[in-house]
Amino acid sequence: MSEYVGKVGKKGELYVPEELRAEIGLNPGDDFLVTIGMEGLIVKKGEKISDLLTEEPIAKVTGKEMGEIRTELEKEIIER
Amino acid sequence: MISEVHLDTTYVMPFFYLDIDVEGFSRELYREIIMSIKRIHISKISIIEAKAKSLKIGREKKLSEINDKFNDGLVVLKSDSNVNIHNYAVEDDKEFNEISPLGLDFFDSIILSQSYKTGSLLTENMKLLRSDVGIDIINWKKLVEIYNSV
Repeated sequence: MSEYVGKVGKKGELYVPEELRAEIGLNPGDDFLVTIGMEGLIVKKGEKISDLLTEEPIAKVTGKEMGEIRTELEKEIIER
Repeated sequence: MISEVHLDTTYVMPFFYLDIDVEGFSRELYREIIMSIKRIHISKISIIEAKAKSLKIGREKKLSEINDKFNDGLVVLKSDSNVNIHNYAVEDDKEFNEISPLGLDFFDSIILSQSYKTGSLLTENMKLLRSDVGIDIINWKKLVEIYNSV
């Protein structure tokens, strides 16, 4: 695990150290995700949803299954 | 050229590594089209619906793998600055009440009411595709046509 010290700017900007940017491949203009975890902040390079489509799917959902599940869910929400 | 579009649940499923049953659909082409659109809108209820669907699939396949992939997809959906995930707002509720005569199911009603802000909805729901509700409602075939015409 690597640890870095950043700085908060006058307007609340978070300055990410150059070494951290290099380690996670963060470039100017990139998005990044900050998660608050048990041990503090976790910074991850922001991925794009298009990246998710490069991997193979793990299962297929048919139109019939989509309809059946929706009917079940709707019943559960409304009758709850 | 489409600059922004609201996706119904069918088109959210591929981001959770689940393939969909739409004629002519391919993940490669969907990827290209998604990359060409500046802003993608998704209803929060679609994520919940997709989760329920993934759990049902998980009963028949490897649940842990399906759960992990779902979580991976959710992290990216939340972190992509081009994606807008819609909570249920006051204006959405007003739209919901106005479209109630259409007789859509609960999920479609919420998704349609939230798509009014964007002005276009991608869906395969025939009832919606045949409706004249004042916004552009398109299916996969039409989306591909628009994409190829540019």
